[in-house]
Amino acid sequence: MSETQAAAVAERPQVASGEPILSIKHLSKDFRLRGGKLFSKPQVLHALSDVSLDVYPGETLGIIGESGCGKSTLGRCVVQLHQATSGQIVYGGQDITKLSGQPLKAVRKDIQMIFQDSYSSLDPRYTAAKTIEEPMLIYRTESDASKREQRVLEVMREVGLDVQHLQRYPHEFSGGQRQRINVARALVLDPKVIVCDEPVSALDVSIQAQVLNLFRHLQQERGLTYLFISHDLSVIKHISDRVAIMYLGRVMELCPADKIYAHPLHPYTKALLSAIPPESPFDKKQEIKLQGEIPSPVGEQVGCPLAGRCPFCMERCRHERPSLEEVEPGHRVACFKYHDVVAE
Amino acid sequence: MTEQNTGLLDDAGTKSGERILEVRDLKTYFHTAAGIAKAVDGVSFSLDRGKTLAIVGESGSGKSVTASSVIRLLAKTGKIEDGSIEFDGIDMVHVPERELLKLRGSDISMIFQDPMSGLDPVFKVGTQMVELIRAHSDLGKKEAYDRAVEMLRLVGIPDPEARMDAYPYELSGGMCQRVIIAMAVSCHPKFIIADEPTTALDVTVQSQVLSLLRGLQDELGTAILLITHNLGIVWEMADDVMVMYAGRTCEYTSMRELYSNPLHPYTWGLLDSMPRLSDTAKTDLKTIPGVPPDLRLTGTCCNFCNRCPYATEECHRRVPELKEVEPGHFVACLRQDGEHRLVRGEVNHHE
Repeated sequence: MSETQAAAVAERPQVASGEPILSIKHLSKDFRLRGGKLFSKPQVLHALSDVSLDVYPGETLGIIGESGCGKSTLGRCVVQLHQATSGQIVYGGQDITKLSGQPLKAVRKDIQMIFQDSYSSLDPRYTAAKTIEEPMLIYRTESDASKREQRVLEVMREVGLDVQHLQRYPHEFSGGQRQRINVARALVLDPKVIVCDEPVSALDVSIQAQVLNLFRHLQQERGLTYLFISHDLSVIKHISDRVAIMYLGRVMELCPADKIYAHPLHPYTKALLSAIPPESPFDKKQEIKLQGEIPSPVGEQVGCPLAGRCPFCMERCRHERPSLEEVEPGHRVACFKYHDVVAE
Repeated sequence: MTEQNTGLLDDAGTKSGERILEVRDLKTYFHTAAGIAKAVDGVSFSLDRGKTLAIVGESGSGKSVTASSVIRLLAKTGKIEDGSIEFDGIDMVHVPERELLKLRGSDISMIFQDPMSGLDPVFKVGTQMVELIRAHSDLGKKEAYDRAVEMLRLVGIPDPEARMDAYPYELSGGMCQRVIIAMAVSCHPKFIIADEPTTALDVTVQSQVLSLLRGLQDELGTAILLITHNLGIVWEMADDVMVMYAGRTCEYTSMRELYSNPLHPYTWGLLDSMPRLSDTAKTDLKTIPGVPPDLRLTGTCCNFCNRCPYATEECHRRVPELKEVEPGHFVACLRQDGEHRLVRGEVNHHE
């Protein structure tokens, strides 16, 4: 390990020990599905169940999981696009799930979001300049039009957009550039936290690398906090300080980014890692196969969500739900297999 | 193209096995209102029975158009301008449409990226499978049904009889992709074109689908043309690899050779810009600056010259030919043509 790496590792727990900027406490989100038949009872889809996460200032918390695991729902709850069913999201000393009107607007100014599809998240009839300017009008942060224009130019330069493209429309930009407009729009209000929902998934690898570097530089310069959602493990590991692995609406494992690769604990994390295509043709990988498919999140949920597919499933897993517990410093796992070891 | 390309095809032939597909100097252009887009501009490759050739490239590199050209499944604006495609002794460029219909689905089948759009949403899975099998064989209704059930079982779908009565929307993405694969192999094709077969799937499902494809290939001796942008899948699946950029081949060699000794600057850029799980350092990723060229304007210089850190003045004036730089290793680069050697990471003195 080189000196810089050692320093980075030593630095991380310190970052995590400060006061969290955003604290998600026992958050649940249910969606009510109307029954298929007339007069049939509506069913409940548990998109998020009892998720608790702390996000510390200046860090990147990566959230990874397969489709339908609730990672996007979590992101949307944080920016209050979804109203959580129960639980709290504490930001700046107040529970933002209870807020509405002006106080909520003030919080939203601090927590911005970047979406996966760079095209559909931009208004096709707005030029780049107008798109980036719009948040300043909505939040009335700058009343002087020339100052607003100055700010737009500033932010465009910061994200690496050509200022000559000010009056271009979204369709005239490439995918990578459009995502830069989205980043610029999020940055123009000087937010503290940015929720990035699969921001690089739709981009080609060479462009993806450019955008990932941009995220990194912005964080270093502005001290931003990211909640970075992705399904790509190598991207998550590259950008994140800590990683939360989600499955069926729950956090299964929470650990520093390096540990997820070097020392994964949860059977689901191991299976996820073994499913990733190899990094070289000479990699001999030991595959841990999960049986069957992801169970449905609809209806009553009993026991560990992985119980039906886990090769290490015990009788207890079918009835009891393991909570997310710290088994090593900074490493939390929701699995009885490790809880017992610690207890002993 | 030049003599060297012929050499390429002959040389590949010594890699054992029987030739099933041979494409020479393929040019597919799209005639749009804004001009002619040279989507595929002189591509040659070959594929043997039971082998897998992967075509790698970014979006717009022409990899999907190359695959569609092989079975002439092009949009109305697209046209094969030049070149030859020979599949199992059949001239695919000139074969009449009626013959082609017989080939598609029986000898050649195709797996597309989006499994949902590959199935008709208003028909049951079973109905669609039986229809396909009966169209390409003389089996009766009952036999075709049994064959379909057997195929669904082969691709690992639990309780296949029940799934025969399911509509596509009732199945998950991974299940739909399995149905597509079951349909693709149900007539024992000699050749499968898999166009980003797992891009829309989760990693755990992806690994299931890939090992399924590999297993079927071993069993049936099918040749696979695999289109992907994910190099990890290439390392797992391919025998040979062709790297495409802006409609032309950059590099064409065996998979192991490409991994251990990549020679084209674009391949280097592609390899460097992927974040790796095993990296411990939190540093910037290496990127390829700029964006791919407009396909209407290519063909006068090396297509990669504007983004290439090693480009010289000559690169802006001449189109590099695909040359055999090392035995079985073909590269299209003026600065990497056997006589001149480029060192990866070297500073460009010509700037």
